[in-house]
Amino acid sequence: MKPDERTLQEIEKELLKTKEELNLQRWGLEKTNEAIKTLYRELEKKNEELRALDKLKSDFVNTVSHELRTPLTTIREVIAQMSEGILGPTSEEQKKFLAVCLEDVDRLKRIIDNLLDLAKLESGKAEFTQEEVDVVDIATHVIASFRSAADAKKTELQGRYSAKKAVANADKDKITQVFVNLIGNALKFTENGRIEVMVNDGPDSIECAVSDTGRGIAAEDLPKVFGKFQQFGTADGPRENGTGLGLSIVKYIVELHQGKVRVESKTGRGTTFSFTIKKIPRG
Amino acid sequence: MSKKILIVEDNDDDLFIMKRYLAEAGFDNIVSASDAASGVQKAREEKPDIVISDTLLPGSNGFEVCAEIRAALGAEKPKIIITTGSIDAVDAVKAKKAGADDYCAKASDCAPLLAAMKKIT
Repeated sequence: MKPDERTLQEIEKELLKTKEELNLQRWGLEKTNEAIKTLYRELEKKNEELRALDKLKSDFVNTVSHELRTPLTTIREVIAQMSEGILGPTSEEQKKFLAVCLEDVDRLKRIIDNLLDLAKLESGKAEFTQEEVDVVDIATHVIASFRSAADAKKTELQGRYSAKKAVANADKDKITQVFVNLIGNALKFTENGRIEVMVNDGPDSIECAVSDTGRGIAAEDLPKVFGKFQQFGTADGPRENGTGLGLSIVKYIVELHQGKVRVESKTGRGTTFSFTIKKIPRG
Repeated sequence: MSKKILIVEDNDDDLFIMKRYLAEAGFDNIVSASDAASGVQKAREEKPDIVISDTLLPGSNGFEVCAEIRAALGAEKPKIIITTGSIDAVDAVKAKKAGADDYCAKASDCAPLLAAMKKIT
């Protein structure tokens, strides 16, 4: 009997140990469950706070931009009238300074407009109309609007299209803005050179590109070009009259159209910005 | 006199929040350490009633701090609570095996910690 009793005792001990281990595991599971729930709740709270902060930022930008625009319009009008001699005789010297003032006021206005555009895009409040648009037509029009500016910089500006038409469901004004920003940008950094605007119609998407033979962007700056308030290549040349927001806007608009934007560049050789517009089914 | 508490926590913000909520709950006798080694040393010197240790600490972790304090001061006192702010580091069984009395996640209102404090005091 004795060996059997010992075996039973041993079994009981073993069972007790197993029970303890099971109790520990059950306690552990409960605690782990509780802890994970708590941490998720904390994450959700943080997310909510971030969203609220983001909204606050957008509201702030919106309000400030509107408040800034109104007085700026008045200032511009008065300077223009002074410059034209409407408010009394103006000397040539004064006219020169007033022209500088006007230029800076216009620059400020552009920055505010861009900030407003970006704030709208970021907050998802930008109106996005989908209609059948011909991207070749848009490119042609934008090129025409830049013709005299290109001539002034002795730069050849031409379009190259794979077909006579490239139709997608897109927001016409926004796609126009992408071309305006990219061609304007290319022209800023190109003199005595060439700018080519390409539109290639594909089955699922339209591929577009704006290439220039300008001074290019340094490799270390390339990852930052789509960031806000980024301006490059100004160290060796005159400060350009940009806002540093144009390419951020391009990126937002292209992504709004489910497309991708890319940049390739070589210092001294030129830059190519390319982007796609997905042919989104209408709806 | 209120119980002496040692908090081992390397994040200043978390420490500040814990101190505030614990003081509000009546625990105002608090000492702290910001890494594992000084945590164990403070435990030996101060002989706290309760230790609250973070899981991820410079130089070591809360489980080891817990085991070392147990080895140095015995199985009964202090009571030890291990906390965590990182989902990757959640391991209640490991905390228990290291000798902890309770285990909970960090929250911005310290509710789980205060509940655990209530249970052990």
